[in-house]
Amino acid sequence: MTVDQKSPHAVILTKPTDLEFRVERVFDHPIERVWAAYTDPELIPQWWGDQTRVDHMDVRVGGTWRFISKAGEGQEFATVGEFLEVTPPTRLVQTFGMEGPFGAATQTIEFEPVGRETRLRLTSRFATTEERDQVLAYGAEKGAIGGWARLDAVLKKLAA
Amino acid sequence: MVHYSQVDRTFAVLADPTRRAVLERLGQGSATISELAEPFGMSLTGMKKHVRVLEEAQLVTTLKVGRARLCHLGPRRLDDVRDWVEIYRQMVNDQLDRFGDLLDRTKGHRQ
Repeated sequence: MTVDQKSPHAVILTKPTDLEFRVERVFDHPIERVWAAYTDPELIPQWWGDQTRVDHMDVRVGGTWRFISKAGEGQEFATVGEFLEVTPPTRLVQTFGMEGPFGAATQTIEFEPVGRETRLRLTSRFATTEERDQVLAYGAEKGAIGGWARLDAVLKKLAA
Repeated sequence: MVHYSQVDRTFAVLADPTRRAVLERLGQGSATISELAEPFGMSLTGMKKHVRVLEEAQLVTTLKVGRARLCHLGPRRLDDVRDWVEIYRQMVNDQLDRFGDLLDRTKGHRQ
């Protein structure tokens, strides 16, 4: 797959084990800023997508979060989790799941300085390989609803 | 807002788990409608509807052989998205792009 490899800040997605997938990206900002922005409930609606609003987000060990987003036709769905480990500015571990069809994954988010930049690495671990693949497929379906522009590049290949 | 009607349509076709499973099955070789319907415990009529949708999207072509209808993969290739990972990656990429834009916008502000 070569889509976006020309961009130095492209997302890399790998499957490190049968139960996990991992997303990595480098941001051209210092680690403290990336951590602060990532864990700020007021900023979530600006980047999460799907017209998401924060019901609550209590960033401390044992604290919980709940985001409410809108699917393509306006129906709302909630994403929920609990913070298991909060170590600013390097490590955040949380459960992450949909209210509904999927079991919760454990998501480990690592912030790592790379010179003046910061690498963000999100590793999601599931109970079974099937659940992991279901979430990946669900993401693809969500892409269908949202019609993200970048999907076009993938689909042009399909149509070729 | 740019509209990607073709994109949306293709994904609408692929969003159905039965239709994805049919494509995966046909990736192993041609099959009749009843062969496709059987593992799903689905009626022939139900499977015919799915196949017609896939056919309209050029993901499947069919050929009438006697009383049966033989299905095989159509001219559109799905190799790039077979395990759906690339599409998911694109979605996450967009989300983290927005996060990166936010960091750029708030540069110089105190967090």
